[in-house]
Amino acid sequence: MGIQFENVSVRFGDAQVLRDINLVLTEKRVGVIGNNGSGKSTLARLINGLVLPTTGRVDVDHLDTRTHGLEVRKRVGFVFQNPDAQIVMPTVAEDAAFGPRAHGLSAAEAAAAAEKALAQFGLTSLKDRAAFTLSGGEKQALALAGVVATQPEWIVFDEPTTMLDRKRAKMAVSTIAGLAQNVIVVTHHVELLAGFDRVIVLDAGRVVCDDSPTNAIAHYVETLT
Amino acid sequence: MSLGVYQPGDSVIHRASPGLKLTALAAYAVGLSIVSATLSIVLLAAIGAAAWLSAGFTAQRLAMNLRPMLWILLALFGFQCVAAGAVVAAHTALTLMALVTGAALVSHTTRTDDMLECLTMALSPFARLGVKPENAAFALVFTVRLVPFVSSVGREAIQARVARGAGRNHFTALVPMVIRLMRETDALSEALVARGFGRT
Repeated sequence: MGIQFENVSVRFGDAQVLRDINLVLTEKRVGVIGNNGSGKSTLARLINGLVLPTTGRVDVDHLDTRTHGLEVRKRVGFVFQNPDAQIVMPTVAEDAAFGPRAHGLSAAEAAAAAEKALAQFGLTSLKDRAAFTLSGGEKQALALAGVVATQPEWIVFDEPTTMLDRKRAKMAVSTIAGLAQNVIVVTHHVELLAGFDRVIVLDAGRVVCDDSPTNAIAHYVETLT
Repeated sequence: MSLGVYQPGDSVIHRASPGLKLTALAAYAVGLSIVSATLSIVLLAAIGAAAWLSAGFTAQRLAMNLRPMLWILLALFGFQCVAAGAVVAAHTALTLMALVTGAALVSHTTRTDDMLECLTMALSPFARLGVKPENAAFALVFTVRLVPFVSSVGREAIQARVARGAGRNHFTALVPMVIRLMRETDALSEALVARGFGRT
């Protein structure tokens, strides 16, 4: 079980974004770092089938993302860099219940799942607020609550701290650290990866280092920044 | 209060079924469209305002809902004053305000889930024509979610032009606004898929 990349390459038009990726991810905390344009966001999107490989295959718990998209997305939640793009329903409670509803839960079950997730992230008092009126940090929390409400096994974060101030970024780090789910964090903020089990460094679409956080971050800092 | 967003409450209108509210709204709109006597229009607008107040919302909040359409109303009123006279212009302005009041009342007193369920049921006869009722109902409800979003993108496009010394010409802000909306729409559709909606 876990996430497996087998000879994965991705090409968008003339641009080769990822080349020959072979990875098996089973650790609880995995970081992916690299400069802009290194392919890390594409790698993240491959995991829940938002992007499909041009060649090769990506499996989540032995389910091919190409043929089992819905089942894969039940297992893998995705938190986008910009929470505004992730919030799709008018109110906080309705948005948190959207994922569970989309995954087939009844309205009552989805509402219960949403309520639990909102409580986990301190959003209960805001449940009837218009989602677009929340602050940046509250929107980020709602985006995460909406994903957690679907009870995925894995949560992929794409640049979770890029749009946050230092205080909110610190809160995001501790929130991610406290999650029960397996977590994959794509970032170029290396301090986010303290305590992770494994860090993968990407450059020009290739894995150039796959090691412990200490070694991988040292490699990234020395050779790519 | 935010346009189109459910506001919890326990009024008779809150408790009424979404189907009844949508039917009443349709009848109200038809009524406003076919009457032409000033007294009838004023009466229908007064009924709308009374329904608004009976749902527990204030007149100030109604004004907040109507404010975004102020410029359109003024432009239309001015045009119709010249083209058809002041009485017709006043009729049109009052009719539009009454329609927005009715629509805002329904959206503010109905949970999205209830609205979705009702619309899905209403659209189910079209399934035979290949329409997916759930998706069509979601598209309608999602449109409401996009109103403040489009409004904020428009505001930011104008502010960006002002910041760069280009003045407050709303028309020249249209192109960057549309480009940004297309980009944001891509991101939203990606998020919908990521959250389990649609694509297999």
